Amino acid sequence: MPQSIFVTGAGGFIGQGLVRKLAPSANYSLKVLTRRPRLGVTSQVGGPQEITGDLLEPATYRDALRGCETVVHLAAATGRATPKDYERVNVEGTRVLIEACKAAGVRRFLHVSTIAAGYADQSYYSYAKTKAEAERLVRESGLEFVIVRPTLVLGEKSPIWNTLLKITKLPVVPLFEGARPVSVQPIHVDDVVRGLVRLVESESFKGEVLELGGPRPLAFRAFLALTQQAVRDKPGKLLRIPLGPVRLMLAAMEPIARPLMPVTAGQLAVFANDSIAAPNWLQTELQATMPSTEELITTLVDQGRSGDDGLGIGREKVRRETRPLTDQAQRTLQDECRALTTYLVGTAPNAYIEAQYARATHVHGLAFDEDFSCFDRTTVRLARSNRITARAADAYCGLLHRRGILRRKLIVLTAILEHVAPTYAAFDRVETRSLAAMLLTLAGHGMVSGLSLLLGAAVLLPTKLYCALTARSAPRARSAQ
Amino acid sequence: MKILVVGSGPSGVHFALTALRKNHQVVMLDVGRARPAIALPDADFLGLKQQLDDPAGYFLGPDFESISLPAPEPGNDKEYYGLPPSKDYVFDRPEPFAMRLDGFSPLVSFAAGGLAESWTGGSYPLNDDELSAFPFGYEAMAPHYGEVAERIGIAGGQDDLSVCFPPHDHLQPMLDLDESGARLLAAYERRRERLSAKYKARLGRSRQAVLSTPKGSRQSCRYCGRCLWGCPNGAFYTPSLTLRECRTYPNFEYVPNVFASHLELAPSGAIEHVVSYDLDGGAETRRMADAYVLACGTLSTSNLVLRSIYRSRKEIVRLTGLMDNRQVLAPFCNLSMLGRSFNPRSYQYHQLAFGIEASAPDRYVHGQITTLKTATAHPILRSLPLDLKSSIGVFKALRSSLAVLNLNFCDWRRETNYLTLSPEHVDAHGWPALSARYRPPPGENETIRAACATARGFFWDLGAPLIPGMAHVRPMGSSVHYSGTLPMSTERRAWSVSPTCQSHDIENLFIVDGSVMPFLPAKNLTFTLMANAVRVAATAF
Ligand SMILES: Cc1cc2nc3c(=O)[nH]c(=O)nc-3n(C[C@H](O)[C@H](O)[C@H](O)COP(=O)(O)OP(=O)(O)OC[C@H]3O[C@@H](n4cnc5c(N)ncnc54)[C@H](O)[C@@H]3O)c2cc1C
Ligand code: SF4
Repeated sequence: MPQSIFVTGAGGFIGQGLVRKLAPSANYSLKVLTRRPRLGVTSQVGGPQEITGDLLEPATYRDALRGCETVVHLAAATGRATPKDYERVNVEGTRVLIEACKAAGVRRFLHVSTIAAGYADQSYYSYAKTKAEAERLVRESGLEFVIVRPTLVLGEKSPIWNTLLKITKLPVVPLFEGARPVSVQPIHVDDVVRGLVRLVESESFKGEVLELGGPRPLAFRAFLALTQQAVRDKPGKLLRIPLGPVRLMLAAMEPIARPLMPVTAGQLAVFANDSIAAPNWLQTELQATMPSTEELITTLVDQGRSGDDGLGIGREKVRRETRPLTDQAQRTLQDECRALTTYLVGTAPNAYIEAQYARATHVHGLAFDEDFSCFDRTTVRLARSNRITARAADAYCGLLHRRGILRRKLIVLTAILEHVAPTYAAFDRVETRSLAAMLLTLAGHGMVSGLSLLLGAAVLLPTKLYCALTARSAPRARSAQ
Repeated sequence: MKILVVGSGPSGVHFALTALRKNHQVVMLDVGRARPAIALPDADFLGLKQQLDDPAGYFLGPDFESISLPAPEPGNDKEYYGLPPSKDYVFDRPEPFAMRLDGFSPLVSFAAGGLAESWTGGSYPLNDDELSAFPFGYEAMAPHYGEVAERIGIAGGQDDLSVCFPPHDHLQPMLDLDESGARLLAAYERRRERLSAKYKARLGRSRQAVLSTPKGSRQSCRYCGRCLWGCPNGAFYTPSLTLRECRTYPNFEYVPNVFASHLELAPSGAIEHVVSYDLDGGAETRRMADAYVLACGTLSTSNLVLRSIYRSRKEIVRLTGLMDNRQVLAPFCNLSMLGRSFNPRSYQYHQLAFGIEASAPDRYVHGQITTLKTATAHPILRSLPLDLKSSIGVFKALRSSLAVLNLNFCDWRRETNYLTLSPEHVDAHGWPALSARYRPPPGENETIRAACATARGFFWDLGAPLIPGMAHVRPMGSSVHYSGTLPMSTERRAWSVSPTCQSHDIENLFIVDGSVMPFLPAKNLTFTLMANAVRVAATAF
């Protein structure tokens, strides 16, 4: 009989790799906990069974746990979540999951933690503290368990790797350095997944803590330099920045400005601690077949450059929306189309335009207000209300929020209006004017546009701050890194 | 002789027509996606907007996929080609074709007529300097350029720029020039001496594969402004017209809807037969002939050769020397058109060309100038940092004066750039995927900067300044002039062909598309591909 395994955080970076590896095997029957059903996967014959639920609400997955032999717990809050969310997801989430496992008779618990859980200096780093706390809960759970602590995990889709790629493209790369230079031991996600599979296959969970790292430790600085070399085909410059003061400053700003900050003081703990794996049997076993760190980096850089999605005539893939357009959404889009058409071309749309607009926004994933961020929702509402606020919101977004929902909706509408009668005339009418009249028109546009921008900024800048602060930094259950 | 040709693009059809006229038996295998019927053939461009039942569906696609939206994440925006839904069939890929890309983002076509079903018609003969790496000079090519010009119809004339285009027969009179183009040309005429001395650059009329006088069943251009969306009356040349002509020959057999997979090689190294798959049923067919001619376009032709070697020798080779023209798009504003109207009833593609002499004669930089007439506005509107209402106002005020200069740079074969198979990426049928790698030549940035500086000065002096900050270096692969992986060579080198395009590696194999170019001049290559295919059919068969 196949081993029945329950995975949390399966949508995360390590989780995806693990599911890909385990799902096709006949030795396992896989259940994955997801917050939103991912389309198509459930229906796949032999694919993992998706359990739609929430880590913090055991009622949603209690039944699914029954009969499972092993739980692989990858879900965690990472990135720039608030201390409260770290506490909720990483500690509370682990606590309720353990309770549910015990109730359901699950025997084995594979807990994926992080090298940071063992950092000596965890100042400001709620993530590390909560992961350490979660480990304690696992140790005291009474379940058969293994704890795995990966170091720096790299892979094509690794968030850390992608940040690194961006940074190393810069001519000068900042390097935070504390009292002493630290070392890292980057490992490829495939190797982490290999390790996890090895554990799932193994007979007994002996309550070990296994740290997993790459082929060899190296100075953080050397790692950055290697990446820089691979990305830019030439060595770049590193700019040393003292760590202490920066951490202090970030920590002070954090309570108010976290949502706007590129990094948090806590995340800088990687520059204050070594992230290298203590020797253990699994590490030794995996290491035997790992590529060198240099190879690991060059392969990743090359993978980033190549892909097969470049083929084609440069169109964004239209995301096929599977949710039907509700009457409510339809009405909202109709009103929106009227308001925005009146704003753009000065006349009301006909029924054909309204219908096209509803369809086009729908297929381009722009139809449902509830999908939008707080800020996007505000810009769209502002634009719907009248011509003046529409232009103000548009002027702001045209300059400062160019990929936002309002901008996308307006581009969709413009594309329709320019191609259909009678509104195409607003774009294609053949006009001859004196040079002076034309310059006057241009100046007029410039002035109104400027005023609209001021108005838009006056309303939307405070909104932006408000949205950023109140963002219930969504309890993102992602895999631990 | 029985000749099996794969591919119905410009190379394939012109080879076939010559071979048919010489009474050879020609079988043409082709994926051959066919063009759907043309909507309202009598309407002009604005008429389409007024008269179509579903204009949004026609212009934007059934799923509105042609709306040009910014990607949600910065850095993910794709190169914009502006090709309309009515040309989608040209780029429709059959399932057996997959590619891995590194530094190269190509277009491929499996249409009846190939990529040139959506080309823009620029047809320029190469001169002796540009042919210096070829095993023959202009004289050998001239009659074939003339022959192709006679077949397809090329409008063009003699002017200051013509010194860059060696003379050949059968040019048609030039089309009417739009007002913006005419004003630019007049401004150039007035300052010709000074400008060409100062910049070593020239401006003149383009060479376009479009009829200014009717030819057979094809009408002459009636200035309807629909060129991009598909010419409704055959005035604008596409290879499917020649395919149609081939199909009137009794010694021609056209076999569409098949994917040629590989050539089965005998131990002697010669081809035994070609293996293809029926795209509906997947049934495998083997076909034999006296000679096999590949005209699938450089990428597909190379893929076929690579797969054949892989199948027979279990070996993955690298076909080096992949080339493409680097293109830079530089929008400019023709100030003399400010306040004037534009005429939507105009021929749409480039009517003027621009040439910059370079350090070496073969490094000539070739420019094409397209003035804005009928066009899709929203991609331009969305690029401005303004509210869309103001953008529309500004666009309307400037529209008639807007234009774009498309600079093309030559390319040469280098070891760093190649096509091969990627064993890590295997398709559903177990074949490793075609994989392309391209790195630009060292010093490319300086070359581009120098040409842009010349153009900036030149157009400024013409009263048509380039719009600052708007020049765009297109990613490699965008010019769609792929070539160089199986070059012509007088020596018997591995992975090359003879001067008559017979493979040095596989004896009964001929290759007649861009793969055989030993050098890629800046001027658009297709006219040369067609003439070369005619040359091969005329001289080797
Ligand atoms: C937007 C655009 C604008 C362009 N503008 C110009 C221009 O102004 N001037 C210019 O000179 N060039 C231009 N070009 C380039 C020109 O279109 C190409 O150079 C030309 O089409 C190449 O011709 P070909 O016959 O070698 O190959 P292709 O056109 O690629 O044709 C390949 C043919 O082979 C068939 N085929 C491929 N693989 C297989 C297989 N495995 N089995 C069966 N059949 C197969 C396909 O169905 C197709 O018929 C442009 C291209 C584009 C896309
Ligand atoms: S070439 Fe262009 S303008 Fe001329 S008839 Fe054809 S589509 Fe119309």
